[in-house]
Amino acid sequence: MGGLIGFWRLYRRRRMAVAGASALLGVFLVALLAAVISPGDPWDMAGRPLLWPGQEVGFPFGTDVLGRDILAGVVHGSRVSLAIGFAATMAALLLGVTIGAIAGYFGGYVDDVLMRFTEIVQTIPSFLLILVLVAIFSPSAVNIVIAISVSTWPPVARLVRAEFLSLREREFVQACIVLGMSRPRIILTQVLPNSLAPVVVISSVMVASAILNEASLAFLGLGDPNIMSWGTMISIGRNSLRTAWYMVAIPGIAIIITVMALNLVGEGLNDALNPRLRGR
Amino acid sequence: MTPLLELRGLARHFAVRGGTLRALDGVDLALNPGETLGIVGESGCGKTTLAKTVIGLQAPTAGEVLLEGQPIAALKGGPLKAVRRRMQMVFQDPFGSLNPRATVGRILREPFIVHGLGTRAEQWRWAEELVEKVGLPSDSLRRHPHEFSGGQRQRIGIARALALRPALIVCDEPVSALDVSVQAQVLNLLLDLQQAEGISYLFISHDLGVVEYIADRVAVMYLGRVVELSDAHRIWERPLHPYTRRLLSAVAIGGAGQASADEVPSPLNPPSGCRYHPRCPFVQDRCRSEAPALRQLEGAQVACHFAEKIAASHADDPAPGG
Amino acid sequence: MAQATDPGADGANPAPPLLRLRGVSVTFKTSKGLSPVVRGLDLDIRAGETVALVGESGCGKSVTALSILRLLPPAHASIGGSILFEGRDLLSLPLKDMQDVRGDSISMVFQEPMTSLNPVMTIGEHLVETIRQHRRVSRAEALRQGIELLKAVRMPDPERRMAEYPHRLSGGQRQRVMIARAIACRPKLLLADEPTTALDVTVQAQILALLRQLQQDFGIAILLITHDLRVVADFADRVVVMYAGRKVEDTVAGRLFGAPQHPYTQGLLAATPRGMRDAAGGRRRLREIAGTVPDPMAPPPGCPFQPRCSRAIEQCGRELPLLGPADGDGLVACFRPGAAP
Repeated sequence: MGGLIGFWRLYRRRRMAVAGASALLGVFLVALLAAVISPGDPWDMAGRPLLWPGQEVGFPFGTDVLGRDILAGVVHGSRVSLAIGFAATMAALLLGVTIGAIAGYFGGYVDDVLMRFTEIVQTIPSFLLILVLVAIFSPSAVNIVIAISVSTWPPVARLVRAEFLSLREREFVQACIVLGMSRPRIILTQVLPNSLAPVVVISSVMVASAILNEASLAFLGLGDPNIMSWGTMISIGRNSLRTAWYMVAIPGIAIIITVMALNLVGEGLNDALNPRLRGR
Repeated sequence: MTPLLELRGLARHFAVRGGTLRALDGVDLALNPGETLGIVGESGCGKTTLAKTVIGLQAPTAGEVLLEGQPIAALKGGPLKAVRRRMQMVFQDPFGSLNPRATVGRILREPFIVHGLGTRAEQWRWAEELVEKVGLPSDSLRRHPHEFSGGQRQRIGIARALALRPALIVCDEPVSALDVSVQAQVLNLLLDLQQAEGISYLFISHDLGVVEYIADRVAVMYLGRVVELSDAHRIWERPLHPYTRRLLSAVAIGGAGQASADEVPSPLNPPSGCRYHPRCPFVQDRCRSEAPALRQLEGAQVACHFAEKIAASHADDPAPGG
Repeated sequence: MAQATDPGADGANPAPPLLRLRGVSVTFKTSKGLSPVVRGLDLDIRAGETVALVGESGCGKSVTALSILRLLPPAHASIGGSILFEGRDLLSLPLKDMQDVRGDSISMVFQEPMTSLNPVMTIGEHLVETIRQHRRVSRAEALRQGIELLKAVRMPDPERRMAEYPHRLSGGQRQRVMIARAIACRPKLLLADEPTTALDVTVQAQILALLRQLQQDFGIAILLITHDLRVVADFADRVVVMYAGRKVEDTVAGRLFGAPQHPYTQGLLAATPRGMRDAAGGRRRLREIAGTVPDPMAPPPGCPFQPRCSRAIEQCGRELPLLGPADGDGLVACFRPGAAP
């Protein structure tokens, strides 16, 4: 636990990182308490359509073309956006860490094959790949998560590979080989825990970009039509951008806040984790 | 008596851009139970490659390593694991050789976990005994490596190597990263442990003073080959190979150096014949074409065509540093 | 033993010292608080003299060299006291003037020849840049001087080396380039911070011999910083031993090895394994110094060496021994100096 306290001491030295973490915590709370803040289904027609924010009590953010409460949409949408962001990142990490670890630890031929494959995936523009995958399969939430993770794992793999390449030459790993420890055990208990700091840093940015990717898909009409995400809300508001821009702006601001918070957290993690890596 | 460790024609080559790097090029050595064999030489002489090949971190290109008469190259699985228990290693870098995220307790229990020895409680008790044996405070087990000084970390590394009660410990420059006063502590600890447990050491170092102190016999290496093998005290008093003389004069207090550049050639393209011939003041034509083999001389072994003559020419000359 | 001339040994040199440190203290600002690394150091170096600053890691010897050139980042380290070079206090010099001193009248050679050279610059470019930084000469003239410098440091094939990049050179050759660069402007003082530690023993001997040769040829004063007493033996005129940021002994090199006065110096010499065999080939046990160097932020009371000292008496734990004249002509900071019991 001493490590966690030391980590927090380093992290809190950056004021913007603390601000990012607080904002992110706020978004999490909203997502957690969605049913309390705004009971009922965000798809319900709750009031008159096209109410501007502040025009009518009870609809602080106004309503959309079909009279759905935009506050309810933003609140419930946070759940969807965060869930897709984190699920896609987790899946991408699983893929990337596995491939990177195997390539980096074993090296040689295995490394060559896996890294050429990684580079091939990386040469395809990731949003294009997501678009194609979602277009081929149906645009359900699960498929969106799969598509995002399948196209965003390569940087993780390369990062983990580089860490493994340097760590496997370290003497404490050699000491484990000399002790007779098996390879999977060395990878899982010795090398992996020491290679995760940069992965933690990159993952916060990946969550942010996954949220953006989902929003972009929804904006293009390729979101899951059955769930209310921030992206869905933007795509609904898109057609009346000139007359009722608030319908796009409000979920847009929610996305900006969340993405910025995640990026600030990422920078804070980077600063807090790096001196420890250098010092030891 | 079967030697504890035997190296027969051991070679390790690396394919690099521009050719083959002959890091280790035909080494024959034997180490008896309870003995310390020192390996000394400058960078590029192959001493670290020797350590890694003996311990099995690198596979030999040619030749074999025998532990208690048994070749270990072909071993896999269970038998290999059994050999691992007999042979351990102490590394050079007291900062890099311990997992920074593990506690000392975890690091010292690891050998028992890997070999399935003892219950959790027994492993803890053994770890406590190890910590005590190497002279660390008893509360060390709960702490992380970064809370210790360099010398203390090296003690942790030694404790880990001792855990499985090996017959042989390969020490790769174990004190070269330490301050003089701490170096003496670690060297004396190694000697005391040897006396108490009857361990053999294969002790690799660039420091002649350290090797002379700890080793019973010393092998001097130059560009992948052994050029002299002798008793530790003898090599200091009466070096036979010109390269050994050179090494000793370089470290002797009051020893004279020369300002001009004269360095070890690259092991990528080693010189023909005797590999020391371009730097040797006694070089003859034969040295350029014919590589000398290790041969007996005055109770030692030396790889030099003209060792007798050179030794005679220095007979009245006080041995450097003696 | 010491064949080198000992200008400081007769003690009758009337000229003021080239470099005079008085009460120099260096304090690092760390995340845990202030850490005093050098405490009240006095040090004199005369023109053409070789002084060795000896001690173990963390004793403040490298920090002393860095503070002479003001190379410590001001945000992380504060320097007190005075550092007089030819009568001018370097610590109060404007940065512009300090830059003129660096590399010109005082230059430095570092431990790590691998990282001290810029990998994308040729050897020639390194030398030409250094020369033209301080001297108004043409490029062609600087190139000519560069080749002369490489000859001076006994670099084989100097003309060809000028066009080569650092990675083509061995460690010893790189250190020769670093030395060539350091003497390019004929400095009066050369700070050599562990110049041979990263090198092989036979190369170490060559580099030390080279430094000694250059000193005789150009009359450069050298401050050699090292942990290795062996290096010091026949190289330095005078040896200063540091422990925990303080000077504990300051004496003529020959005397230090013959009759060290401070228990720490004695301990260091006894802990260095050299010729540890008796006539029958038996092993004499190496004497160790118990314990470890104190934490600069929590030094022990009294003498900093007292917890590790076998000769410590009650007074040592109470009072800090000041530097005083030792038996003979050196200085020692100890209540019970003298030969080991």
